[in-house]
Amino acid sequence: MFELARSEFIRYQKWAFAIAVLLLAIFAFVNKIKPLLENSVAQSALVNLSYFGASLLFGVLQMAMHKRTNHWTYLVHRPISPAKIYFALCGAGVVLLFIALGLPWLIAMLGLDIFSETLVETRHYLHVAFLVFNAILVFLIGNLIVLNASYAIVGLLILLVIIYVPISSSILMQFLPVISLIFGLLYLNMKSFQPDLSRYLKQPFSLVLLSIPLSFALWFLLLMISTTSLYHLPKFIAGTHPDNNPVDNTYRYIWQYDESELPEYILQDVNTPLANNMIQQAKLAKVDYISTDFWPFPRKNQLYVDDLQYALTHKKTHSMWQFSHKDMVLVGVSKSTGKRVGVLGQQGFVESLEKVTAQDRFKTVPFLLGESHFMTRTKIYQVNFNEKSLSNKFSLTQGEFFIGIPKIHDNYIAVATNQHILLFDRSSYRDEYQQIQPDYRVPHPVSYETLNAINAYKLADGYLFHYFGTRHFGFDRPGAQMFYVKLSGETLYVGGREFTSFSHPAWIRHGLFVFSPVLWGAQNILFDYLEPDIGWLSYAEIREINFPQQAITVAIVLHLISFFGVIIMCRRHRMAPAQVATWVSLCLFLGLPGLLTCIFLNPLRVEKKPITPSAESLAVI
Amino acid sequence: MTKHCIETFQLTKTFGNKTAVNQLDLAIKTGGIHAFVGSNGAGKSTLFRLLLGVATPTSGSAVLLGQDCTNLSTEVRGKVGYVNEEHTLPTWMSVEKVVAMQKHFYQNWEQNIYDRVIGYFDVDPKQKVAGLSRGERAGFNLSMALAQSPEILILDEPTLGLDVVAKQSFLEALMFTEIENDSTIIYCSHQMEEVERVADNLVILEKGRLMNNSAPDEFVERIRSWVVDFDGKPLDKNAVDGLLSAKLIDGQHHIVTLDQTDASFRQALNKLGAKDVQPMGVTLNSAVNAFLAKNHNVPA
Repeated sequence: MFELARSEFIRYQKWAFAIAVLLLAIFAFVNKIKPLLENSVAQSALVNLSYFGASLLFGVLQMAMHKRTNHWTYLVHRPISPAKIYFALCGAGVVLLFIALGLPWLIAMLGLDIFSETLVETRHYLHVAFLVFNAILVFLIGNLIVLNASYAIVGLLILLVIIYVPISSSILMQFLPVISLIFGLLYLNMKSFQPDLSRYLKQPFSLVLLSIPLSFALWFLLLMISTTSLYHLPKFIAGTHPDNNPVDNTYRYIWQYDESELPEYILQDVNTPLANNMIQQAKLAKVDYISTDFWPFPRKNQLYVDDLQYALTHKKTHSMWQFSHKDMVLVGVSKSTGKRVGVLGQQGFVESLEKVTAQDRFKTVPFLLGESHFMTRTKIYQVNFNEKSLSNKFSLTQGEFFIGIPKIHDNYIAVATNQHILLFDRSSYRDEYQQIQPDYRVPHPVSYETLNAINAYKLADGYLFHYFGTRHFGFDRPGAQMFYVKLSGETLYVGGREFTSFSHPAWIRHGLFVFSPVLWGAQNILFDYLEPDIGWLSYAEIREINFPQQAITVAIVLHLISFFGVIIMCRRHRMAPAQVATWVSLCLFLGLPGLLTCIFLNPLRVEKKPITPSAESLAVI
Repeated sequence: MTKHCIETFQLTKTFGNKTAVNQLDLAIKTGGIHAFVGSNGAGKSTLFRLLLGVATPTSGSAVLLGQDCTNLSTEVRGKVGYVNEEHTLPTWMSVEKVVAMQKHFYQNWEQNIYDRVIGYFDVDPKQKVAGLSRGERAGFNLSMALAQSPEILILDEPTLGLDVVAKQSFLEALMFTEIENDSTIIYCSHQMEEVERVADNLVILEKGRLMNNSAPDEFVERIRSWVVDFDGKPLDKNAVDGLLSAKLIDGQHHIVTLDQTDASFRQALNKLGAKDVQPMGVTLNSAVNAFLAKNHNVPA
């Protein structure tokens, strides 16, 4: 087995080392332009895509090279088991991946750690491990795409969504899924690596391992294809699509109006002097969009790719202040000398790390804003580098916390909390010598979790806040409300409307639920568990939801179709009882995506059963 | 040791609408060199793939050294050598490293056999496999296959594309080792002169079906060639029993037949109006060619 692994390693070693050297050269070049460990989301995505693309290509290529008819016979026809042959090839592949993709990162990190004052912490090294693990995962999917008889295996790339969409605050919960999936894929690859690659997997455990993620991929595919072909496309062709023919009293209809005219539509049925006044003022008002998106604040020991802002940079002292997750303080480094120039804790500046006390350490990782501000979920700080002081600019109390970061507008700075929209004066926000209080503190009319969008109209005597969203009044209850905030700070409700008509039928609006209620629920619960607060639904929230009757009816019908469909599949392929039990159970849980998985994981043509050999059938001519 | 090292029972393999192996019942006796002959697409390579378990029968079954081919153990795989026409080898490795690797896999590795067989070919151990000529690579492949001391050695058109000298070396090495070792060799080739030299048994496949499984001499015995003079009259082909081919050359009909005895066939021809009937000698090459050409597709 080792000999085979060595042979495979020798085959690609030059490529692996060449890629490693190339990456090192790229890292050195990037480090000359900007700090290597400062990554924007786009840069991280580019690195990930490159790594995963290369890993997938290698995974496919490695097995495809062996799969050629005579090469395959040469590979598998030897006195070692197929599992050992596979592990030899896979082991070599993993080592090569590490050399090509992991080693350059590791060398770069070590170089920065040892030869520079750049903060390199465990989380940076863990990031390399995380990246390599994910590269291995994609490599294994590449292997499986070639090894498995079903072409649908390519859908397993959806596993990356499960890993990357919810970002758990726990390092363990970030690594656990990818490591578990690697073991699952190793098992599937080992089972798929059989002398005859045209054989489909039949063991119940393998079927379950393959079906669940594949159903997840087919679920999305099903939604896209069915809604496009059965609904959107015919409607577009017939010229009756709601996008081109907006229906009054639907949420979509508000986009028919210019922002200045929108209050008139929202307040159509509100015949009060205040509403009429607002409608008239809004026509001349300047409108700003205030973001209520949940901002993912940095977390202690998070993998470094999540560093949305790298450091505070003070131009005058030519120093850069990075946050150390290990020491929970900001560490200053002179950009001229590369030496450390001090430490900034939550009580102010400290001479060195050795002198940092427990009170100096931040309890949570702050998010760095611009040149001198940073914030936590409850506080906004401002640094005065000239006087070496730190001021707590503003604090929230009584369970209130920021859900976003301050957004600078022409006349004010707006920031959303879980309870209010706060508007600050711009000049006070920037003044290094004073604390600030919001000029306006507008309470949310609905829970911050259902807040979707807010338009702020600057009026002559205050602001008109327009809240609207698809879940404004609850699940599947879109609506809009308007509030007038006087210059004095007093808030008055102007009016609103619930959009009781819908552009699309329920089975389109709730397509994911309709096609597989279990997958819909499982996705929400899993993602909410891994990363709460970003809009996924918990089990308790799901229980509160009432889907429209049409969506429920269609879901039941599709489930029945799936059940009978899988019975037909089992009979057609003359499956063994264990297989039948597995597929029926899977379809009962997964619904239509489960049936599609069953179709894709079985041959299109029905195989004839080989007859039992008997001595009588021998014939020598 | 079982009497038959290879057995197939109603073995069938289809690829879509094409049937590569068609209800094949075959039994290959242990020992000797068995030549597998057939036109392109006759199902020879598919049969070998089925025997090695890298393809699964559509129906029927195959048994190799007493074991079902769809589930061959590592032990049986160690007893069966395989050399294909491409001489697939790890081209990125040097000859000596490939040999070192093979030694690890095969417990019965016979270094002296390897040394003797490789002696027929000019192969530098330090050279990369990619740098070997086709003949050298074929020789190297055969050397390793024989050194594994296989009970069955399957050679699928091993001399394809080799020059005369390389082919000669290959055949000599093969024959020499067959004497040394009581193994069964399955030799697939389109070269009848090779088959004539090495084969103890001749298996003919046509359109996935077994057409012959006997000694080459016995097969040749079944084929007769005649030159018949009908005095300018045309030959009624449907009236000739066992007719494989008939050609009119210089006014005389050259006829090849299957399973026709001299006396009765001569009598039958005379009844059809033959003026003169002369039996001719038949070589294995011409016999096989006539046999295979009978069902060869021709444009309508």
